[in-house]
Amino acid sequence: MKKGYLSLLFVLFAGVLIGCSSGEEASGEGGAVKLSLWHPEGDTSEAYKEIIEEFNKEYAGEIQAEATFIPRGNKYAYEDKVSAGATSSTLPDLLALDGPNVANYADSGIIQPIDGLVENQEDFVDSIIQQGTYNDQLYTVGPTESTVALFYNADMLNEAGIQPPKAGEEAWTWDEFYNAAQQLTDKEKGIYGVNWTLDYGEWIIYFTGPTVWSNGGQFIADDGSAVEGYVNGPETVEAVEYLKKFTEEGLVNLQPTPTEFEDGNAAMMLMGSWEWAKLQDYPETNWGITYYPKSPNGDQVSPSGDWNWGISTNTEHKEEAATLLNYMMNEENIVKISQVENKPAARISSFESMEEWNEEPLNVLKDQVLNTAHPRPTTPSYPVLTTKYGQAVQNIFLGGDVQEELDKVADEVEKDLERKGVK
Amino acid sequence: MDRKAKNKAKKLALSIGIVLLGILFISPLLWMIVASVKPETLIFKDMGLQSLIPRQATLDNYASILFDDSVNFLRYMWNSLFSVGMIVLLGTVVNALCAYALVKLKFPGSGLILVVIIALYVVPFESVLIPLYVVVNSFGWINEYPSLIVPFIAEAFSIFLFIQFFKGIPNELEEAAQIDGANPFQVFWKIVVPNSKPVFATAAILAFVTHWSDFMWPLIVATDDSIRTVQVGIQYLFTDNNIEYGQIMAALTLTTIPVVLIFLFFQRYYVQGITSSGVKG
Amino acid sequence: MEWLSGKIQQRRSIGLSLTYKQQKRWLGFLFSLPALILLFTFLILPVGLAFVYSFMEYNMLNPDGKTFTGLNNYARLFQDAVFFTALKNTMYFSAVVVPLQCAVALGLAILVNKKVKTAVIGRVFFFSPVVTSMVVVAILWTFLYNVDSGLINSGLNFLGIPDQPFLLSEGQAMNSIIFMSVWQGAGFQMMIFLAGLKDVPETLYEAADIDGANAFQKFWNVTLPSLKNVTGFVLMITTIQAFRLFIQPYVMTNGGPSDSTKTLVFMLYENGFQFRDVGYSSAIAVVFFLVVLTISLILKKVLKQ
Repeated sequence: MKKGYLSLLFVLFAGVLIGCSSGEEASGEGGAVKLSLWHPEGDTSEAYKEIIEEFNKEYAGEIQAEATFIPRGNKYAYEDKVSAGATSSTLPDLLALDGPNVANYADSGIIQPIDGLVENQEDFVDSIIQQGTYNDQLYTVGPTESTVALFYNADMLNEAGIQPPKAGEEAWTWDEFYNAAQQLTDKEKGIYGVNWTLDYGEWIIYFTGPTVWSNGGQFIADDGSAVEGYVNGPETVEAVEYLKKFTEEGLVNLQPTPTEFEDGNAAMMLMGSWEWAKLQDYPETNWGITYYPKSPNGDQVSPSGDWNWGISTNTEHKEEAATLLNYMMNEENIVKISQVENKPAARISSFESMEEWNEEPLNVLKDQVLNTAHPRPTTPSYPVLTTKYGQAVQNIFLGGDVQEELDKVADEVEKDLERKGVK
Repeated sequence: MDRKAKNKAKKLALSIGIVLLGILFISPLLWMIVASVKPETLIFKDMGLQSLIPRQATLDNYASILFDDSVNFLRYMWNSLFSVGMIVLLGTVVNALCAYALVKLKFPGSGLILVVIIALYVVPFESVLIPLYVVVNSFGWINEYPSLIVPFIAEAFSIFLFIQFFKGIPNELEEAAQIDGANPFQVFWKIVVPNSKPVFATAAILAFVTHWSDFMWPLIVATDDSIRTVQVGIQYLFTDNNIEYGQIMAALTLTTIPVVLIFLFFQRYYVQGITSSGVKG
Repeated sequence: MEWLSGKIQQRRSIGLSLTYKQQKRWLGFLFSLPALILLFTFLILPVGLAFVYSFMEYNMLNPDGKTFTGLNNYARLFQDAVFFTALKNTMYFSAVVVPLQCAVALGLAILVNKKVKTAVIGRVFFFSPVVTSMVVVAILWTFLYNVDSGLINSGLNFLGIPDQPFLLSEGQAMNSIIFMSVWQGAGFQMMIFLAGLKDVPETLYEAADIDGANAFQKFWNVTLPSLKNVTGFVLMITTIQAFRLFIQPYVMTNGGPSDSTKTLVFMLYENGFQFRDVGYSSAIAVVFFLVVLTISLILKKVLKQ
C-alpha cells in the first residue's frame, strides 16, 4: 500500500517533467505562414476571434493567424506579460498596446515602423496617427478612439435650472462648470456636484490632460527633451489648482462608489465614452452628455487614445503581418470592433457609416473625437511620467501643495529622460 | 452546581464565544457573499451595516460565470486544482525529506544548506519573476503545466517549517527503531511521518492557500485558455471599463469553496502527536 | 529509494554492511537532493541573475542593450529619498504587525484547540480570510474603509464614533493596512501554532491541574514554554512576510497618501515592472535581501537566548 503510494508519486513526478516536452505543435497546413497575435482579453475578444477566423479562411494555405487573449487584471498585467515576452524574445508577430506605450515600445525597439504599409492611412482620425507616431515614424494604428466628456443627470440639472451646452463652441468655461457643480452639490442629501474616479492607473493623466492643455499647459516640451517648466509650469499648475478646488470644497467625492452617478448621488460625471454602455443598465436615470469644459483662455480640448496594433521586431513575416493588420483595420472590421463596446471608430469612413453617432447623446463624443482630440505625450519616459503625475495628483486632491508635488514629478521625469538618453 | 455541570456550562459558553468571534472574523467575507447575490445595480446603493441584508437576491451573477460560453470557469478551476494539488503532493514529500535529512541525517554541508534555505525564504518573489521566467522559458514550458508546478515544489518555507517540527522528535524514537534494524528511510516513513501528522497537514494547507491565490506568475506563463488557472481566469471580470462587481464577488465566493473543503479535509489530521511524550522544549 | 534500501539490505546480508551512520550520510544527501536541485534551478539561479542585473543598466524591453554600469544603481539608491521613506514604512509595518499578528494567532490557536464541538467552525472561520486571494481581499477592504458609506464607518457610527478617513489620511493609511493585514494573515500563523499545540504533552496539563493551576498559569507555565520553538519560528517567518508587504498598498492606496504606504517591495515592483528598469529594481532587491536577512539573523540570535 505504502509502496504503491510512493511509486505513484514518482510516476507523477516523472510525468510532469516529461509531459512538458510534448509542446511542439505540428507546423501549419501546407506551409502557410503562421502569425501570432496578443491582445488584452475583454469584450472585443469575440469580435477579433471572428475577424481572424474569416481572415484565415480567406488566406487559407498562405497565412494562418492565431490570437491569444491575455487578461489585463485591474492594472498592468498585460504590460507585464509583454515585458516578460520582450525580455525573453518571445513576442508575437502582432502586438496590441495601449496608446501611451507607443513611444516607450518604439524606443526600446520591440515594435517596428510601418510607414507606407497602412492602406488608406488618411482615412484614420488625426489623433490615432499622432498617437502611433514616434520620431516622425508611424509605428501603430488602432481600430477605435476614446474620449472623456461630461455626463449629466438631466433631471437634477433641470431642477436647478441649469442648461448644459449643446455645441462645442458653447462648452462650459471653468467658472461655469465650477458654479454648476457648486449649485448641484447638496451635502445634506449626500449628493456631489461632480463625480470623477480616482483610480491608480492611466486614468488620472488621461482625464485631467484636457484641463491642462486647454489652459495652454503641457506635460513635456514639444521635442520631448524636457519636462521642467512644463509639467510644473504655471499653466499646468493653474489647471491642477482649478481641479483641486473641487475636491477641497467637497464638490467631488474622493472615494466614490463605482455607481455614484448611476445611483443619483452625483449630478455630473467626467467620464470616458465607454460609460455609455454601463448607463444602459440604468433606464430610470435620465442622463445626457455635454462637452469637456474649457479654460477661459483656451480652446475646448478632449483626451484621446485607445488600444493599437504594432508589428513586433521579433517577427520574421513583416509583410504577412501587415496584410493581417490591414485586414483587421479595414472599414468593415473597424465597424465590427467599435460596435462591441460602442467605442468611437478610428476610421472616418467607418465612423460616418454608424448612424447612431450622429444623434444625441453620442454626437457630442463624435464631435470631440473628430475636432478636439489631443493625444497624450509621446516620450520613452512616459511610464515614469504617468505614474509620478498620477501619484502627485492624488496627493494634491488629498490636500497636497500643487507646485511642490508637480516639482517632484518634474524632477523624477527629468532624471529618467537623462537615463534614457533623451537629454 | 456540581463540577460536571459547571464544566458543561463553561464549554457551552466557550463554544458560543468561538462562533461569535468567528462570525465577526468573516463579516468582510459575508459582505462579499451578500454582494454576490445582489443585482449589479444594487450593490453600491448602500454599503453600510444594512448592506448585509440583501433587499433582492438573485443567482444571475453565478449563472453568468458558470454558463458563459466564452469563459470556461470549471476548466480554470480544474487547472488550479490540478496544478496546486501537484505542488502540495510533491512538495510535502520533497520538502519533508529534505528537512528530515538536514535535521536528523546530518551530512557534510548540511549546516550550510540550512542557512541558505532560510536566506532563500527572504527573497521576494517579485524580484525573481523575470529571471525565473527566462529560466522556465528556456525549458520550453510556457503554456505547459510544468511551468505552474515544478518551480514551486521545493519551497524554503516548507522545509523551514518541517525542520522546526522534526527537531522536536526525540532521538530515542529513532534509536529504538534503528536497533530493530530499520534503515534511515524506514525510520522516516514509519516513525517520523506518522508522528508528524499536524505539521504535514499544516504544510499542505499553507502550500495550498499560497499557490491557490497566485496570480502574477500564472498570468505570465499560462495564457492559453486550456491551462489558465482560476485566479487568472476571473481576471477578465476586472478588465475593461465596465467592471461587474457582482460577478467578481460571485467568482470569488466560488473560488473560495474548494479551499475551504481542502482545509476541512486536512484539518482532521490535527491530532495529538505521539511525540509529545516528553523531552520537548 | 526502494531500490537503494534493497541494495543496502543486500550489502548488509553479505557482510559488507554500511554502518547506520554511513547510511545516514548517504541517504541524507540523497533525500535532500530533489529539493536542492529544484531550489537551485528555480530560486538560486534567478536570484543569482538578479544579483548580476543589479550592476547593469537593463531596460526590460531591450534585453540585448543591457550594459554593466558598476555600482551606479546602488549609488542612485542611496540618494533616493523614496527609498528611505519606503524602508521606514516597511520597518514600521513589520514592527507593529509581527507582535500583533502572532499574539492574535496564538490566541485563536488556543481557542480552536479546545475540545468543544464548535472548534472546527472556528478553525474554518478564522482561516477563511487566508484562503481568499489578497488582491481580492484588498479590493474588498477598500470598499469597507470607504469614508462616506463603508461598512466600518457605518459600524463606528452605530457605536457613536464619527467617520474616520482611513486610507485617505497620511496618518491612518498604514494603520488601516496593518489592521486589515492582521485580519487576513492571522489564520496562517494560527495553523502553525495549532500544529505546535498538538505536540504539547497532555500530561503536563494534567500535572498542572493537580497543582491547582488556573488557566493563565497553565498558559504561562505550560503552553508558552512548550511552544518556544514554534513561537520562534512563527516570529521569524511573520517578520519576513511582513517585510514583503506589497499587494495591500498596491491595490488600496497606490503607496499614498504622500508615500506614507510605499514599501520596499512596492518600490521594487514599480521600478521593475512599471518603469521596466530591471537594473535598479534588482539593486533594490539585493539591498532588501541584505536588510531582511540581517534582521532575521539578529532575531534568531535573540530568540535563542
